[in-house]
Amino acid sequence: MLNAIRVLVRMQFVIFRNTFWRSKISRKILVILVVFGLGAAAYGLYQLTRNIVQGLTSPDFAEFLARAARTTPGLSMDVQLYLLAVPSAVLFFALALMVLTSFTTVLSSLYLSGDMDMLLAAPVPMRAVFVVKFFGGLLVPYLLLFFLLGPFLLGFGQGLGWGAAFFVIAFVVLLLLPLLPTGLGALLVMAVVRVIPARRAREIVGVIGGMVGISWYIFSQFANQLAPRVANARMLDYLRRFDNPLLPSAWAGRALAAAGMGDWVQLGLYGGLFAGLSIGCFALCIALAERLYYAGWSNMSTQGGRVRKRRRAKDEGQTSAPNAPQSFVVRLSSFVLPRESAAVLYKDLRVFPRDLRNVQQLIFPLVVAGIWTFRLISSGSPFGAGEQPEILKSFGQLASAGISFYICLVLSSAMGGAGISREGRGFWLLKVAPISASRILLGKLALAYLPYPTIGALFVLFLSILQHSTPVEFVRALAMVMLGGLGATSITVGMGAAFPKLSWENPRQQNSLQAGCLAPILYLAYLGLALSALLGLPLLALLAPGLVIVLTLLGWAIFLVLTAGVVWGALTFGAARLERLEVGG
Amino acid sequence: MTNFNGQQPMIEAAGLRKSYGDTVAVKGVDLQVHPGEIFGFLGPNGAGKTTTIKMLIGLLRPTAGIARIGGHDIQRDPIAAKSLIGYVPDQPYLPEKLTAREFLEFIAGLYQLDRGAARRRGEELLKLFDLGDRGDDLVGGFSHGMRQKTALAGALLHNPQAFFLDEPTVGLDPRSARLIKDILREVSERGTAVFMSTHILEIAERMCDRVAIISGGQVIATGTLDELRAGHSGESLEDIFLELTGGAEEAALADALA
Repeated sequence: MLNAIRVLVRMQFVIFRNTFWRSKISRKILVILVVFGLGAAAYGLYQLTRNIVQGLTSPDFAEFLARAARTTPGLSMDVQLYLLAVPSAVLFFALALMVLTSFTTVLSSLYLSGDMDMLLAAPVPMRAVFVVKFFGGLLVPYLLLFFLLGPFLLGFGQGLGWGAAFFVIAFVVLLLLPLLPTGLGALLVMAVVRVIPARRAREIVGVIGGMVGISWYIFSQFANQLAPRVANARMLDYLRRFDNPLLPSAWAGRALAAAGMGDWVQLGLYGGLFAGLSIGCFALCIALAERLYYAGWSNMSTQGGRVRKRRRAKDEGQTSAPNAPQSFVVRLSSFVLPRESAAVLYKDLRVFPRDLRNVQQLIFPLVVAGIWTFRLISSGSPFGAGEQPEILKSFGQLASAGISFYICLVLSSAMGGAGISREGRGFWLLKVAPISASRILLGKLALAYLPYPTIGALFVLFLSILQHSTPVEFVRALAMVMLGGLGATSITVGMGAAFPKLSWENPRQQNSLQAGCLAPILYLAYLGLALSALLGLPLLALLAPGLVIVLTLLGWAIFLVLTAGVVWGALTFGAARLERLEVGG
Repeated sequence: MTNFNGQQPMIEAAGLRKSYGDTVAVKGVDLQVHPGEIFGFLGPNGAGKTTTIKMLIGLLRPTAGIARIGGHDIQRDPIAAKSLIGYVPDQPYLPEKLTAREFLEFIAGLYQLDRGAARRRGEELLKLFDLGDRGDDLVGGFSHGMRQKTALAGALLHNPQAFFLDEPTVGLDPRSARLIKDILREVSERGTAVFMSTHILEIAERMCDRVAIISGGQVIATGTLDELRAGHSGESLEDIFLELTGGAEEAALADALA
């Protein structure tokens, strides 16, 4: 088995080396810059931690703590007590993060890598493949641990003046830390893949991960309301709760502290417990891998895709009428769009919601919409209060347009930003078909623009009612959202078409770097100019009140011309680049 | 064998060339395929078969030369040219989250076919390819052979005049492979020009009206099987192929090793 592991590791190394050496020079420079960036961040973290720890052990801080203890009964004045709990707390968060991400990490590594067929067909022990894939999946976690947690622990130990034993144990802890969560993740993955195909499992986990992220975002949005209840000196006591001897992270933390203070008994006890559990979990994985890993993989290979029930009509011999997308939007688009563009739109409308990871991208903006609406209702508009000129008060009514626009922009970017990239390796179908690039983009634009006349319009109406806006203000806000949306969507679609990324596995990686960078810059430029014309020009009426109508109309005229220019420019650029795009070589 | 002399070619390559930096993948290919003709495009691995096909159908831009379909330059008049083309790649990547029926409906929309007629023909094709019962399953769950058949159904939906197939029988069971051969004969009899690249020389020998052999990016022989036999010592297409592409030495080496 060891020889097989050596061969497989060597192969991985050769692939890694070739990927770097044979990549374009720009890619090499990027990799070198990233490494330097990580190195600089690691050094900064090390210095910061060391200085903070040195500061916390200074006499000034001891005096501050003594003052806090007088006002907070039960608060310990011994800063060392809290500092010793820091490794346990930090390791707890690192461990928790790895528990949350381990499933996806191991799933991709164990079951979704492209060389699985070759490896499993070769006379290589299953355990060897498992070990190599297991640690292959741990490369990024190890990189983060050694570049982030490593410098932190280094600075922490140096700040406290601890000796070499601490640093040796810190290195061992970092090596062992991922084994427990990733081992548990691997066991779970091997069990789940027996029931659910690996790709579907990844989609589901992606959505769950997204939901956790959104929950965290919601929590952070309301942190201000929660913070006064907990943000006091007693917070320090919460730190010590992470040093609970029942937690494996606390065993590692205590082992570190013991190594720093030269308490060899404690080091042996807690270090032994932590190492035993981590290595034991990994050993259990290896023991079970021979049977479970292969069973999961072979099960995955024989499982087909989702089998959909046939409709009764078809069973009776009728042709299958594609009823699913015959929604109002689709029927309406049939009148507006050319036939081939409508076909692209229909197809995208079907494909998009069938990949859960696509749907996940839509949840976040909707949650943001909810939070902002709540805040708008609960706190009111900053423009609305007090004695202000009428023109400034009317800006407050534009908050509905701003919020609606932002929500739609995020939704539209998620749906349309990767419009061409979403075709992936199937782009040849469009390239071979008798459809021009501009007609393809028209279909993509229709999909990406969809949030504006639907969700955007409803949102503007809803917020306008809440804000008691006049009909004129409502129409103005709606026109701003619709027109601004058209401009922004054209940028999204145009840049997505100009710089597509057709070789992706995960839909979240559909956006190319160029499109991802250029689109926001162009949004800012376009929206900056548009808002300057729409809001800046009427502001001049404060100096010349008689010209308010002229300036307002002039602002709208500029906005219209600008939008028309952006739509034409972005789509023409995207279509021209798309025409030149080659498929396969 | 049909005589196609005097007919306007449906597929035409004139000096087609493709370079990637210093590497020349295709070094000026000239060929013509007439309506109703089955044309076999043969060559060893890496000879430039797929690159030539991709230039002919507009997936790749030629570095030099012209590709015409039905007299339309694929680069200058792509829509008119592509409306005549049906294409089945060797690795048919299809939208995985569409069902086979939805895929055919999508193709019908792209080619602007009449909806009712396209639906009826789609059903016929699904039945023909034994996919009638799986028409509502997502393509993502299909095997390679089923994807190949779905791609074939999509390519045949609009009755193409120029039908391109890249290794059409790879991954297909004998029944499906036979079906494809029958279909190719049928569409060629209806006047469709069939351009097929294949490694299976037996298929080329039995089905093709003419063949071209490409090696190192250059067409080294074109003609009917009789025309090819006339200039070479071998009797079978395999012998001629190995003689032309330098495979005879390898065959002798393999014999020695055996």
